[in-house]
Amino acid sequence: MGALARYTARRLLGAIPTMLVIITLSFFLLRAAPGGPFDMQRALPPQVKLNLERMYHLNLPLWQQYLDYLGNILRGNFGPSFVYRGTTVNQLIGQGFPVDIAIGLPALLGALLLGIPLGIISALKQNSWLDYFPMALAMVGISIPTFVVAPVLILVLAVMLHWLPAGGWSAGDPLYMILPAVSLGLPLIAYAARVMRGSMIEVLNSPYIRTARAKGLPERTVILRHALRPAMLPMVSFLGPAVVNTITGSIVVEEIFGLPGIGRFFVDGAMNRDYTLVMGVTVLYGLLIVLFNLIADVLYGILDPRVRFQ
Amino acid sequence: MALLEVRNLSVRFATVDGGTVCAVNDISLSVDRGKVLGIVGESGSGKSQTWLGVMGLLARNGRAAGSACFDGRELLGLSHAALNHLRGARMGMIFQDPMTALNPFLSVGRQMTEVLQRHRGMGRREAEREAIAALEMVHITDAPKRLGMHPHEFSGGMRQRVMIAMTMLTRPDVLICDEPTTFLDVTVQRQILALLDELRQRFNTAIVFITHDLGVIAEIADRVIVMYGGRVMEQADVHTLFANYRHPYTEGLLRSVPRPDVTSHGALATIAGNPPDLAHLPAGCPFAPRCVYREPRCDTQMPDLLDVGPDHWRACHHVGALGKLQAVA
Repeated sequence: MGALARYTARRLLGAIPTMLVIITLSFFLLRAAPGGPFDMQRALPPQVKLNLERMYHLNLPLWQQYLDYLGNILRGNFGPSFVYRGTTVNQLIGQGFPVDIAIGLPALLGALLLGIPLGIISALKQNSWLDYFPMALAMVGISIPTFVVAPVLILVLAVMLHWLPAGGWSAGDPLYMILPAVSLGLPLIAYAARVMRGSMIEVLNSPYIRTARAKGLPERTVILRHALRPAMLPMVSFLGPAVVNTITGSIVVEEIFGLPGIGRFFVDGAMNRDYTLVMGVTVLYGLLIVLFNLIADVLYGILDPRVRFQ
Repeated sequence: MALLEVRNLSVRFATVDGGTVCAVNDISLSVDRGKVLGIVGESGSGKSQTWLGVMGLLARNGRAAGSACFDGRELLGLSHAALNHLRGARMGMIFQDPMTALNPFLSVGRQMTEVLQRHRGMGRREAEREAIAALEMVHITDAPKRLGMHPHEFSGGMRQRVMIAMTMLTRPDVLICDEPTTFLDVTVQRQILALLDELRQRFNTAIVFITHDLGVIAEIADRVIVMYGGRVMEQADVHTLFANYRHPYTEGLLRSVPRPDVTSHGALATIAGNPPDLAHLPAGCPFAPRCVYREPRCDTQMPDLLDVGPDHWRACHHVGALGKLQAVA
């Protein structure tokens, strides 16, 4: 376990330059974009604008703003939002992020709990209806975009049957989570099932599975003991980025269901040149990607004895 | 009575485009206790598929027909459950590439003990003791420590030793070796051959040795079957086959072995042409298109496997003497 801890520590240290590049690039790119946070349709009086810029230190030289921002980030302070007046970016993320997790996690769990077994069954019953039916369904799940599936779900389950609310959010109330989580999870289940089926079929054709069968092991043991672990490896590679995509990529779902998630801040912030808000969300997403790639690599190493943590 | 009697075995594969690949065509043979049966042929001769068919290990699209009788029990058509009591217990099989044939995700100990837990109903402790003994039997030192290691921590020759130890745990009556030395260095190859011979003598195990290497056959086999296009071309004891072969294909194989004692300035003799397309086998002898003794009827009529001497069989229409190829070497 010492090797694993050292490996994790080194990977985390290695993430620092990555994060620095993300921060620097997005900081200067944002500033290079035309317009600013206080450009309204009607121009502000020059004195007002000057005061505003002074208040947010936008009057300082750019390099100094950059260094100040880095210093603040190190202290975990993302600064005040320029558009949502009187609110800090930390507060906005603190409000929005739990919403994304509340719908993202169930969607992911569903993908694992349904997608993996479906994929395995398809692989075992290759070229039978137990294979064709789920895989056709998966193809549909992948092909139909969320902005089509979600309104249909709303129409049927909320508008026609009145089983679930059509949108909105009430913190902690699972009824409001179901439809968004399902919309987010359907394509994930489909992807997971397809990935799992593909890797399982490949593993089942490998020589060591033939050896296991030659040893007279019952098929159940062959699958569970010999095939499952290797077949999970592509799932791990798939899930690392999928976790991040699910949490960050829920903008469409948030929009359709009117959820107070983080994606909305991201879009609004970008439209309004809310520098600190966009930076805050970008840094958060960057951290998530680095973190889940690390988790995927560590899981990979735990599953595959040939991987050494050095 | 022979330990394993194969009668009129055919192995067919359905292809995606609706065609059929005839990998093994109507072959019969028998395996005797304590003897080594060598199976030679080039790639695609059906030498491996014959035995995968017997063991019930064909790919999903493969079907075996005919009869394979093991110690009085018909194997073909046996249920998986019934077959699983024989496979790994009384019939063992080892494969070409010991890296991929062992599960890289499980420790060597786990892969060995599960055989005993399954077939002997042993507990983990007892199975581990047996596994250690088996590793020592195949001359692996430091066996207790090796149990916890994974296949990638062994060298190629060691992996094949592990494979052999694992398969011999249950003292099978027959050990099918599918090119077990092909991936190994020549020196390691000799050690593995010596080990197999040692085990055969000790446990009276019948060995089926599949290879394309005639040198290995000469060294280990008692009887030899030469296969081509999924058929038996010639069958004889090893001395007769090398000294008094009667089939043009056997001649071709023997002539294309490089010989240090023959100083030839020309190129090594080869058999012209390619192995047959098993999806479109000719009506006659599969070797006819490449055969230098070819006669008109070879194209239309498959020769029967007939005896040409005591326990010496061949499938060929040619009546005259062979030797056309000798001039080349």
